[in-house]
Amino acid sequence: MTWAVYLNETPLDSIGVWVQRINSYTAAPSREYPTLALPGRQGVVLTADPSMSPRTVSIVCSVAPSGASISARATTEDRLKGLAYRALIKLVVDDDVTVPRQIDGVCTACEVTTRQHPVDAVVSDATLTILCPDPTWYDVTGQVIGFNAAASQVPLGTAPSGGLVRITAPSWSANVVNPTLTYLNAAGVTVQAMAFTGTLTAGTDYLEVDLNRQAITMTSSGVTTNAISWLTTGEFFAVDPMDGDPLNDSYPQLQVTASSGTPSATWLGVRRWL
Amino acid sequence: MAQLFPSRAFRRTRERASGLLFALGVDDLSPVLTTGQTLALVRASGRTVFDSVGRVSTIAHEQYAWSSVYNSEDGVWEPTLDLQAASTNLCLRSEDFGTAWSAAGTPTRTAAAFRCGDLVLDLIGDDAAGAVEGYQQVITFTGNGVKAVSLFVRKGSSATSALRLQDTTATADRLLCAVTWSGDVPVVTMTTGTFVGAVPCYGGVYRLLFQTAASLTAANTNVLSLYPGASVALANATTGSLYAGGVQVENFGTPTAYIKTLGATVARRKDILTSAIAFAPQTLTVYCRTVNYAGINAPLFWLGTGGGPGAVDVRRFGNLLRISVTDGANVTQTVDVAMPTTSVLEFAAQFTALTTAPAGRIDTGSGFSASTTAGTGFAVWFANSLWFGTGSAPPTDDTSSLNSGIRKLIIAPGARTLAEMRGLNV
Repeated sequence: MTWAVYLNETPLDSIGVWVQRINSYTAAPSREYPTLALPGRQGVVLTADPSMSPRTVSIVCSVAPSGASISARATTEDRLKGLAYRALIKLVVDDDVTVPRQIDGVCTACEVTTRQHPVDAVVSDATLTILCPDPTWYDVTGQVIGFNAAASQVPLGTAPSGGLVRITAPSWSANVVNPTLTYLNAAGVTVQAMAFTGTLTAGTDYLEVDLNRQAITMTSSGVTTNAISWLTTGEFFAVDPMDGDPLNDSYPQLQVTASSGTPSATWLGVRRWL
Repeated sequence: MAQLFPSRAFRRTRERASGLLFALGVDDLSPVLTTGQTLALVRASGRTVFDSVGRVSTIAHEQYAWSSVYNSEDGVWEPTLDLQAASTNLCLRSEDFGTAWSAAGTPTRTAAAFRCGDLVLDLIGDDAAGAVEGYQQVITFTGNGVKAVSLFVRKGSSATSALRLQDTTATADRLLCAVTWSGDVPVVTMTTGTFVGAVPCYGGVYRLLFQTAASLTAANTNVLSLYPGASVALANATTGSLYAGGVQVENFGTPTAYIKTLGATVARRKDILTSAIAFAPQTLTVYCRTVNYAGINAPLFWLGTGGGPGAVDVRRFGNLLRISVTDGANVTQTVDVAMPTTSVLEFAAQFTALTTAPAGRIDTGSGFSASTTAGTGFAVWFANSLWFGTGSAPPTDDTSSLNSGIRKLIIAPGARTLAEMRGLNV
């Protein structure tokens, strides 16, 4: 791979736009903790979970299409603005060092300034400002991690991931009754266990736990119904790198068991970075 | 439908837009297309897939088969959407040599000695230098011809193991091979039959894929034997152990995705993936990145769908790749190119002037082929649909699905190069 920046599916260099730098690309998003000062006590107490700010990325680039003509420069500027002002854009940065990462956002400004008078300029400078409501960077490729009664590690980046867990009653199993999804840290200690009450018919049914949206559905032969009522104990969780040591390839784990039957499950997720 | 990537949370306003005509990229493990079409998947059975590190996982009815494949050139696991034909595993107790299998001699066996996701391998061994030991099972086929045999293996202590499918009625081998090891990688040497390939899996496990010789007779008694510590000479002197399991024998000649069995044969239904299209015939380029699974004669995509005037497709054709244009007069023009030998197949297929003088040409990485002979133009597709593999027709044809995984299928307006299409970030 080589250094490349994409807006949606288009590599910017392929249209004659050359990225010089990206501000706020490598910074971690800022966090705010609500605090409360208590009389008679030094310092403050943290009163709630932190909130994480959106990320604002600015891409500083030159518009210098091949051909070095005024019309080519003007056409490329139009193309760049058209790409940037789509309803939603996916920005992908391949820095040629780590795996390519993507972030989604909306372009709030696209400033273009020609280097000479517009009737004479073949090169211009442009700055795109992109507001990213979710400040974390995503791996461009999702992962499928299979697990069953034997726990499997879930590879992560430096930020927590949600993901989808699908618990299947395989055709070679008896019906899966009352499955339990367990999230364990890298040491194998249970962090969270979600216990479900219900029966998955072997070969046809699967239970989907959406850890991002905190929803549960059950699909039987392709027909999906709400199954939030299956959750009897436990809470939704995020798969969090602090439950492992990602820099040493040690990750939290997932496991699924049942009171009868042999469930099989997959985690569909994506690594995220600060 | 639940999604992984944050853009999907924007659906209450608008999805990401795209200037492409069709863009399937499976990297986000989502069947939602940014180009707006809706994929339709039909598969009325569960099946197995490989997860992102090569473990066997099980999915249910109608669940999209996101499955990983090892790209040996780049040394990475790639996600794909895997589409398989219908098939049945004729081998009973595919992971349990202790049941339904008969012992040849007195082999050793450690049940479920290695786990590879939902697959477990027994450690079976030959500990007698004076006897050939192993496990055997009589397989009941339907129909004569070439049959597919596959199994998962992992290195044990044995230097050589033998796999054999013998017609004991005619006293003739239909499949006979030796498995030796180069480090932890299996080396297969065939005596009878064809070695299709070795699929790397998790933890040193490999799935070995075979085809029998063409002369198998179903009415005869056919015995599948695995000798963990024997050479193809089936001499008595060697001993050793082998991790083995996931044995699969199929009535068709193409090894397909693994089907786990217990006390009876188990059938898997076909993956049928289609999409409606609404764009008109025009000059366009189709880019496809898929698993290069040699020996399968099936369309990779079929745009406009076949059976009448106004359709285009690219398909495997023996050891060739064939681009076809069925013009407005229902005449099909084709050009064949050599199939690359890489584990990943990617190509750009240009279809030009479809409304006036339709022609097609293809580039698999070594430049565009010659164009098909220009035919009669067509203003509408024969059908407004895109099929992956043969789509829904013919529904009874068990050998004509894609039988491998697809990672990207992009249709862009205009005549573009392979480099341009490859550069699109879908």
